[in-house]
Amino acid sequence: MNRRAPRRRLSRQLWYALGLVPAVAALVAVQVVPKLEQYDLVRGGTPIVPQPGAPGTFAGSSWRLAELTWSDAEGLPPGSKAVTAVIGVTPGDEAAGRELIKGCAAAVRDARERLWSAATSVKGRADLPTTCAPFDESTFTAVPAEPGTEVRWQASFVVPADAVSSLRVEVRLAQRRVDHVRLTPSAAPSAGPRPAG
Amino acid sequence: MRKALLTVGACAVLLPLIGAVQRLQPDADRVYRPIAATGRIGQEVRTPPYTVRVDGVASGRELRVAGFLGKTSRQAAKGVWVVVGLTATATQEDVALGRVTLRAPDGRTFAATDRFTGLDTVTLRPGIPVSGQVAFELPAAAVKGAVLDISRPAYGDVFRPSGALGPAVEIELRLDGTAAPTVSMTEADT
Repeated sequence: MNRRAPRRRLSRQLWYALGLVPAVAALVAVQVVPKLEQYDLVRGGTPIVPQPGAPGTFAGSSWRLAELTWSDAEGLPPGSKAVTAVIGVTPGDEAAGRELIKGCAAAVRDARERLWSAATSVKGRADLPTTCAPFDESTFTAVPAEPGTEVRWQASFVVPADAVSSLRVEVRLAQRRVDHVRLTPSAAPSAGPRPAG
Repeated sequence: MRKALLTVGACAVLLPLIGAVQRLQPDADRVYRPIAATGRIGQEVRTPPYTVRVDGVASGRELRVAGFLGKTSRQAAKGVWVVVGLTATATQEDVALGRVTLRAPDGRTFAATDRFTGLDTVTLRPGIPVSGQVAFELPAAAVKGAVLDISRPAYGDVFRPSGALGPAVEIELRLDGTAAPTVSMTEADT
C-alpha cells in the first residue's frame, strides 16, 4: 500500500501535465491566430504563381507578362538599370473589370527576395498607359475594362544591374493588399529600347 | 512576541525594497524603444531595412542651401546648423530613413529640419546607394557630443507595425561644439 501511494501520486501529476499541453496550446493559439493576418501583411501576402511565361488568374482577371525589358536610361544611379514590364490583364466578368478601376500596383522581386516598387523617374514606353484600367479622355476618369478584352499597361523600375536577370513581376490591386499575382518571364529580360523618360 | 517583531522587521525591510524595485523598472518607452545598431563616422551601420554611413558632419551659424535648378538660398539660425552627410541603401524593399534626430548629451532631441528636402525623405531602393545630407537647427550648447539617431523606417506600402522594438541606427558625431561661419547642403532630389 505504501509503495502504491507515490506511484498513484505520480500518475495523477502526469495527467495534470498532459492536461496542461492542450491548455498551453490553446493559450498560444489565442495569442497567435489574431496576429496571423498582420504577419501575412508584413510578409507581403501569399502570391498566386503561374508557370513561367503562362497567364495566371487573380481577382477574376487573367494576368500575363507580355514583355520585360531593361535599358540604360539617362540619369540612373551608377550600376543600375531601368526595367519596364508590360502587363496584360483580361477581366473575366464585369465585376473584375470594375475592380481594376481602383488601381493596380506593380513591383519587381529578384532571386534574393529584394522588392522594388515602380519608379516615376523612368517613363517606359510612350505608347502604353501606366494604369491597368482604360482611361476615358472625355471625362478624365478610369472606366471598367470590357470582359474578355485585354488591357495592356506598363510599369517601370530602377534596379541594380545584378538583379535584372532574376526579376519577377508582382501585381497587387488597391483593394486586395495581401493576395497578389507573381508573373515570371519565360526567359531572362532582354535589352529594350531606351525609355521615353 | 519575538515572532511578531521578526514579521514587522521583515516587512520594514521588504516594503522599501519592493518600492525600490518598482521604481527601477523601466517604463514602456524604454522597454519598447527601437533596438539600435551603433557605429562611428565612416562606418557602414547595418539594420534590417537599410545600411547607413555617415560620410561627414559640419556645423555653422549660417546654412547655404543649393536647391533645384541651381537656386541657392542662405538661412540664418538662432542657434547652430549641423549638416550630416549620409550614404544609405535599402536592403530588402523600398523604404525611407524615417525619423532622423540629433540627441544632445542632456537627452534633448532635435528633428531634422523640414524647411529643405533632406535625405531623410528620399525613397531608398534595394541595392542602390543614395548619398545626401540632413540638416538640423539646434542650440549651440546642444551641439557638442551630439549623437545621430535614425529610427522608424518609413515604408511605402499600406501597413507596417509600430516602431516598438524596431530597428534603429545610432552614430556618435564627435562634434566639438565649434561652428564655422557658413555650412552648406544640397537639397535631395525626391
